[in-house]
Amino acid sequence: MKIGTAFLAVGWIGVSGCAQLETQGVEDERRVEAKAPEVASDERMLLSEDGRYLVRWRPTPNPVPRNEPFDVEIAVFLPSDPAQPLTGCAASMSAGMPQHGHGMNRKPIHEQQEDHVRVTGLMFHMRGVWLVSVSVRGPEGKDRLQFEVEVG
Amino acid sequence: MMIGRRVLWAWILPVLACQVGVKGGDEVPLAKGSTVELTAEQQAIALQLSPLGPGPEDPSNPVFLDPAAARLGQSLFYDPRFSADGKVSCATCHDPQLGWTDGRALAEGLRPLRRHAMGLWNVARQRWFFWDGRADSLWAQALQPFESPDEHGTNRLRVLHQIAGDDDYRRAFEEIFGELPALADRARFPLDARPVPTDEGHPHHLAWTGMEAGDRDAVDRAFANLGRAIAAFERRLVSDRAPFDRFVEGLREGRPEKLAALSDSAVRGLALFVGKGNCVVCHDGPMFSDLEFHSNHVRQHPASPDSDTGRYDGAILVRRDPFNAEGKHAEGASSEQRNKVARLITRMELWGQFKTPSLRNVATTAPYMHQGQLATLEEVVRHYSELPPPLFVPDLPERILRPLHLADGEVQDLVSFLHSLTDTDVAPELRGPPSTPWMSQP
Repeated sequence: MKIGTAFLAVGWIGVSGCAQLETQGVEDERRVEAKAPEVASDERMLLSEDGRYLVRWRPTPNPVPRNEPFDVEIAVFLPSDPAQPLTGCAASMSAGMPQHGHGMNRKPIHEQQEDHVRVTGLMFHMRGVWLVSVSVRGPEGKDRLQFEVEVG
Repeated sequence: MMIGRRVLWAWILPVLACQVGVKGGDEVPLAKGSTVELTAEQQAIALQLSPLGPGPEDPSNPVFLDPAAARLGQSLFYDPRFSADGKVSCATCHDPQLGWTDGRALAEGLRPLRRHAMGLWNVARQRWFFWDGRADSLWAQALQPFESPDEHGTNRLRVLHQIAGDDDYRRAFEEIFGELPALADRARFPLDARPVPTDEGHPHHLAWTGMEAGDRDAVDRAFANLGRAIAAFERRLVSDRAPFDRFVEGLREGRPEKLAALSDSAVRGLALFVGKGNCVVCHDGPMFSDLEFHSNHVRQHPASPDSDTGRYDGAILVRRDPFNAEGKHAEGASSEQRNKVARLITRMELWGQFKTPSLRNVATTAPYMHQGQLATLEEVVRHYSELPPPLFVPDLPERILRPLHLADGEVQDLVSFLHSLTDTDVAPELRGPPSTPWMSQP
């Protein structure tokens, strides 16, 4: 996950500015430490394992909510043309929490659209790292990819 | 929750700034001299745990918010006449004086049951009902104990005949739901009948299958409405003003006097809860529950030697429940309500899993776990600190569970934090039956 550097800098300046204005008694307070804010997007555009396709994984809502339903649109591209999604590609996805040893509690529905596959009824019910697996079948044959989504 | 991350940081940072730079030592008596630390990450998680917020709507229950239905439901809840021996009501196992549970390890209706009675605080916010989630709505849940032979031991026809034969109940029901079926016709509506799919030779089942399909539908519709009324009452059992909620307000607003709502020990317990202890992984969100199911290695209660399959069977049963959101009596159910049943995965790893209980008011609802195996909160915390091995082979363990190896002080800190989730303030009139099941019209 990327860090919003500019926003972080503004935040730190704000914190330290206030601290300088009134420092007396600070040692009595519960100590806190600011942490970098993160870019709020779980959308991915990744190359499949054998390099046959670029796959765009776009959740709605984005970022993926914790313990609430969400949908995903999977679009497949040739690496040579990342602007034009392929039509008629089959794609499916599953997800689980490797650290926990379980998957989702719901079976998602995959619906083939012209230039993407819509996956509905997903739910990542716990915070932590979810490993998403996507399988693709298109003009270049079958390929797959895996990536992590951290739900916080 | 990642969805709120941008928003979250947009106001966390100013709050943190205020905490560092604005709060004076004398204005924060609890914090004065305190060595308690909460990292920004811990604070961010704490902010996700409060406020409780408004509960979800239930589109499958049109009277969910109806005061008259709630009053009828309250009467039904406390009335022992709707049981085989006239002594068991919902309140038998869900006693308002005992945190809406019964203080026993194993609940007891007409006979001892095999599980602990769950508390009802904030119950309308649950996703699944019972320890195994075999009901998918609060109103569908409320129906099952009536016909359980070990709980109320009655049946839907008997209950409806009682409603029809009682002027007050009949009035209340018909003012809300319209006319009851023509129950006076005993040839069409026998006194005792219910489906008993596990015993097709049961007299109640024979009586049920002997009825016309349309009459069975009418009975089911009326019976479902009784559940809806009970759900409208139970929706009111809300606990959302615990010291922890005040503390989180203090975090959010930078108000030292609100931060003082938690003792130093409780704040250390909070840090453990969202940090080293990893409790928040399952006990997450404002309900302190992910509303789903897990295995936690707790031993079987000695009085219940049989293996309890938990969610494994619960997932099967909720799919079969004729009153679930996919059924014809759940008109108005949302697509989400239908999907959660239709898309439910049933698989071996559900074996021995039980619902993550909410921790709000947990200090008032001892004993703990699905069979009340642990008597105190300290025992609960020590269970996770030491964590025995999984119970039996099919009981697939949660890999995330590891012994926490907590020091004695840490155990006490976690217990202190759990006590800070206590708010038992509920309207006194909800703690007993109303004078009448009907509501006077203005």
